[in-house]
Amino acid sequence: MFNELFEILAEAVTVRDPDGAIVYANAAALAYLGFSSVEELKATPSQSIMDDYLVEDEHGRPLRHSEIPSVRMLRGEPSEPVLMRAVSRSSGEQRWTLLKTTALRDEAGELLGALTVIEDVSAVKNAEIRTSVLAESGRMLAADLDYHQTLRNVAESAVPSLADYCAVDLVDEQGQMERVAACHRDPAKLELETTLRELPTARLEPDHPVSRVVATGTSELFAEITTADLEEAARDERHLGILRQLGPRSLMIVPMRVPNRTIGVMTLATDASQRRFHPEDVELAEQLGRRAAVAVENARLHTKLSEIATTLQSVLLPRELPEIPGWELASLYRPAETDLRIDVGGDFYEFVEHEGTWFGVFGDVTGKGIQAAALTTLMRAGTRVACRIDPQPAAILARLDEALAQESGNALCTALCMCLHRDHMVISSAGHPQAIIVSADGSLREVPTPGPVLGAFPDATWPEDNVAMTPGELIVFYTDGVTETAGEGGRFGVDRLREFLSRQAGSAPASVLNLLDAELTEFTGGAALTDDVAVVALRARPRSE
Amino acid sequence: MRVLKLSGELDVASSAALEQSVDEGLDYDRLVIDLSELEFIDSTGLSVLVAAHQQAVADGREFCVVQGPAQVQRLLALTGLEQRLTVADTLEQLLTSG
Repeated sequence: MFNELFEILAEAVTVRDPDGAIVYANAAALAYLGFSSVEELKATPSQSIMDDYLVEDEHGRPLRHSEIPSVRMLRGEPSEPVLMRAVSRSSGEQRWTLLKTTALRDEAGELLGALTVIEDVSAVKNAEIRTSVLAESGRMLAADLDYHQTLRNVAESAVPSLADYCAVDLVDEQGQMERVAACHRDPAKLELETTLRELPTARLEPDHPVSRVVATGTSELFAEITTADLEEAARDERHLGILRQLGPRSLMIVPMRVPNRTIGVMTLATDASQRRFHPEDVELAEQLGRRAAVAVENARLHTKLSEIATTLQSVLLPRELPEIPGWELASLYRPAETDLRIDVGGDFYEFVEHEGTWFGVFGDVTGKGIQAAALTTLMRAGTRVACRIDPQPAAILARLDEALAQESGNALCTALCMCLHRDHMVISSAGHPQAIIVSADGSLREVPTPGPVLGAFPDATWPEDNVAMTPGELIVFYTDGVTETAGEGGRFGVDRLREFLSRQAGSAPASVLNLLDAELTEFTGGAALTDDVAVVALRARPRSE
Repeated sequence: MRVLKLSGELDVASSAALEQSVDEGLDYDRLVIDLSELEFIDSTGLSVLVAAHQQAVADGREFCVVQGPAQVQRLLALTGLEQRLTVADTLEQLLTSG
């Protein structure tokens, strides 16, 4: 009755007697093991059945006959289920198999044999490998912008679950290949492969499969590599000798594609594992290749952008403040953090000396990023020129307005322009937040009279204010990035800034700005700034100095 | 006449969308941007208003704004826009003036 029941089971079932001989196998088991009758199976020692396969446990360690659950059970050892990978030495087909053994006992508890259920879990296991290789590579590709390291990680992630060997070669614009990563289960074979590649005869001719994949962007699969194939591929005896030692069984070369271009190839091979690649393996490798290609391309773009940004930044960041006789100066500059990490913004300040008199322009170009950065350069260069041609705050602003109006786009710039004298400043405003003067007693004044923003109105003119400054008084210029800084309690706001400054009477410019920086950081809770922050503080030194 | 009523915050993030609406609105003989319910405007927002003003002047069309709350008005005053743009106290005022 049991026999009948087992025969209709889809699961493969075998029974061993207490001596270890297989005494029963159902139809599914016979089909699975490749036998046509139980008699044929019984006549074949189970060790020799196993010898037809390359058998490993799920961690890639060789699995011996003595370690399979039924054999262990009959020896009286614990017999946990075993998940094994078996590759047919003849066909290269791979199967994942779960072996579960149960003891068969009579009523007296005497051991009658071991019943083993053989479950083919290849579909589940292959899907799992696929998912984990992709997930692992996805994590690696996202993790690091150093693509050499990333590609080494990707090659390692493919070995041994997908292949015994994985190499990544990038191709440059001249068509030169560069090996960036290679990984093999067997380090000795990796060395051998390196020797092979260094042979003078191992050049990549246009008919080489790697060259073809680069040229066509189409994968190539050599499912079964024969001795004849090796002989044909070999350029000479030495080459052939190494190829034979490597002993590849199956090989695939997949392109690393970005739109319109193949930037490299991934080569995957099996040898010792005896596995044969299938179109599904090629598909998975192609996915890896695509992902790796995107990561490389992103990293390269990022490198280019960083170079541009660094160059721009060195030009755009405000220079160190000059020494201005009679005045103490300090500045605070924090560019907004952008996703490109181009730390340049639209805030600027520039101090220029002309015939013994110091001029300063403190401003903010609307917008962000490269466009704002370019206009900032224009405003700073314009300031240096205008201060020499027409050294009056209102006239300097008029020149900057003219320069900005000639630019296309709707860019605006707000600015304060000042001319520093011993006991006063002449200040003009072009739509910029008013500067705040902190007196010795903590009272505040805001200057100067507002004037029109730069780049907006063709007929504009700018008023000039004479602002008396007594020694010890502090004047603070700031951009709207300060007051618009967002925190949990809304925006920082001009009232909070005023309140902060009223507590700073008598302090030196540098210490006031250090405190303000800390205050802003605390206000945002340490979050990134969304707009540039620039502040310059000046204090007239006592006359005696 | 086309009226664009703004609410929330007009900053770098939202200015591009307004720019688009202004482009379409400038096909009308009169474009009104109602700032009365706008909570916040920054310099990018101002630049959209200035661009609308410049375009309207060039095309010989009318462009007006309805005044906003204190922060918005402060910035309009500070940058000189208040004197140069046509600013109405309320939308009704503009509608009745035809």
